[in-house]
Amino acid sequence: MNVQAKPSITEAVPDDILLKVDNLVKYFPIKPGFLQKTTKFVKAVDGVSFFIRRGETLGLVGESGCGKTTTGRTVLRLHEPTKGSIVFEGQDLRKLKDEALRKKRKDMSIIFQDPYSSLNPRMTVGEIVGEPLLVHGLTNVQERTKRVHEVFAEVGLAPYHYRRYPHEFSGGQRQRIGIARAIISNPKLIICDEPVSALDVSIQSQILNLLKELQQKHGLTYLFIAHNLSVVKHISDRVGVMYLGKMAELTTSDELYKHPLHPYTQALLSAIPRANPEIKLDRVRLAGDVPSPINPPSGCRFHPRCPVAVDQCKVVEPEWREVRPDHYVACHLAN
Amino acid sequence: MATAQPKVQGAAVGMSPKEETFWQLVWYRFRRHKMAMISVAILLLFYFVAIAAPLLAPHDPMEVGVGPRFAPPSWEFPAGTDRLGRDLFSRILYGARISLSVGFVAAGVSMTIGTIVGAIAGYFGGIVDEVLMRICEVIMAIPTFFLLLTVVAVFERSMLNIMLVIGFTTWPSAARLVRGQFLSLREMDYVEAARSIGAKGGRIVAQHILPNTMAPIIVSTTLRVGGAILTESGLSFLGIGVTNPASWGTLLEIGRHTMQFAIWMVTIPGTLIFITVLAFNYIGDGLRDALDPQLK
Repeated sequence: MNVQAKPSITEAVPDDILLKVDNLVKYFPIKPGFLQKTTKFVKAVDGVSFFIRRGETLGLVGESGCGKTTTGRTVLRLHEPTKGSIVFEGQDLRKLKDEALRKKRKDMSIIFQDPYSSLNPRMTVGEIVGEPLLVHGLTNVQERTKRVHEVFAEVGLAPYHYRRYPHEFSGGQRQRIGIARAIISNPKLIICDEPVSALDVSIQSQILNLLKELQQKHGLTYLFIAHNLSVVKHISDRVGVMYLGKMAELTTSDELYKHPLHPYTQALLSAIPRANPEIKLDRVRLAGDVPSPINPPSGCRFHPRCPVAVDQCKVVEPEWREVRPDHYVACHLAN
Repeated sequence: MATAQPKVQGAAVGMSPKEETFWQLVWYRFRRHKMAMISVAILLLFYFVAIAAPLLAPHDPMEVGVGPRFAPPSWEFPAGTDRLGRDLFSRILYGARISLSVGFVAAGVSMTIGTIVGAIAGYFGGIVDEVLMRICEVIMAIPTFFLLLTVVAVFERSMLNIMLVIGFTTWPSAARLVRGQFLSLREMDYVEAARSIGAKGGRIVAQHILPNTMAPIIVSTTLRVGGAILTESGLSFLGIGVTNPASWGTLLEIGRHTMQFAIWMVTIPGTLIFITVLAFNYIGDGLRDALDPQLK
């Protein structure tokens, strides 16, 4: 492979880390009108850092609008990052020129939340799934069709689905089509952008199991975005919790669910319903709404809603630090 | 379709019992629209007659004195004769060639320019969009008919020029339509998906965006054909339309002077224009319903 990145970057990242994101920032300008200067920004992602090891699943949770989806799409440079670095296999994606990035897209893919809008209604399923091969130069129709059928079998689609159109499928089947498209080019990293939240609960587990199966078989690495904590727990090795464009806490799945350090994580976890009605829930209730990402609170972004906030939280922004091995948190009070 | 597919059981596939392409579904839905189907039949007849005019016309449309002057419709002269004793039926057959082709070519020119400009504006957005849309607004701000009159006054009054002029003055509304479609489709997940797999810009436009804008483009084209026929008739009525051979609008204009005693000279071409434009509008309506994927 043609490595274009400077060696300095390659050295900085250990080989077992597939993706390393440092201080990623994405601001969306609010256009006041023609020829007027943009003064306001939606700070969708505001300094997020994390890494993903090869073959693992990093879950990303948070409320609607906290920037998880934007993070996922910015990592793939579907949105152009405002700041920060995205080192994928030792190569900073931000430094890649258009054509080099286009070629690199073979190694990364994305599964979308909405299985209805993510498939072009005017293309047959075979064309949709085969398209990544076509755009990366496999123009031979027979070979492409053969490969599409292989992937069909892997995701649980039948050969006769090849010539059908997306509208003829149910939500779960459509999501299988989306997964087939995402894995056909043998990518290393797959961003799963809430792949099951639009599906029926009975179908959710099927799709989750399929994703796990494919991961084991092909050694895939997932960035799994979701807002359902149980789903994330089920699939992730490590979990990151986002709040208002920032990462609040990131650690292994077990550690996060057993010893959450950030008050926001604690509040989220206490909201998971239990199957046993006898258990008295000790719920942490958060007051108020999520503040606007256009004008986020000073200091720690969570302080207006935090049950344990002290004066320091209103002024000083907490540092993103590793308080225990593999347990990162951004909170003044955590230790 | 290539091969017959085995019968499928279960919920694996949607409702359609057999494999249907998109256009088969459209045709199926379009057939249920009665007025549109009648309109298609009428227009097919009109176009056939226009193409076969030299075979069907009993007389030369320009030949003077084939009958008495101002003869009312009769078996010999189905549409009567005009003040020079020319056979109006033949003149109408030849006029159909002008009116119907003006409609198609003008609508085609208008939609082609409009689609290209609208696609560029909608796909690139930003400053490109701003500039192109301001140009459109400038053109739209001028009343179309005055613009037409000016351009027709400057250039030679040939059939081709009239077609082009109508096309060149009506494209901005098409551009706005296509731009709007592009703006909304550009944000669709499947377009994002195409970018995520590394598809190039040209492929994204040609494969993912344009095919999904076809429905409104087709509907708008159909409606524009009717509109262009009407515009040409209007120009002819003002005495600056296509005269050799006379279009339906020109026949109407000629008949206007002798309306008091030769009513057929206006009613027949007038009714034909009316039916044609109405038919195009009904077809547009039918296509709009048939192409709407929500009505599946």
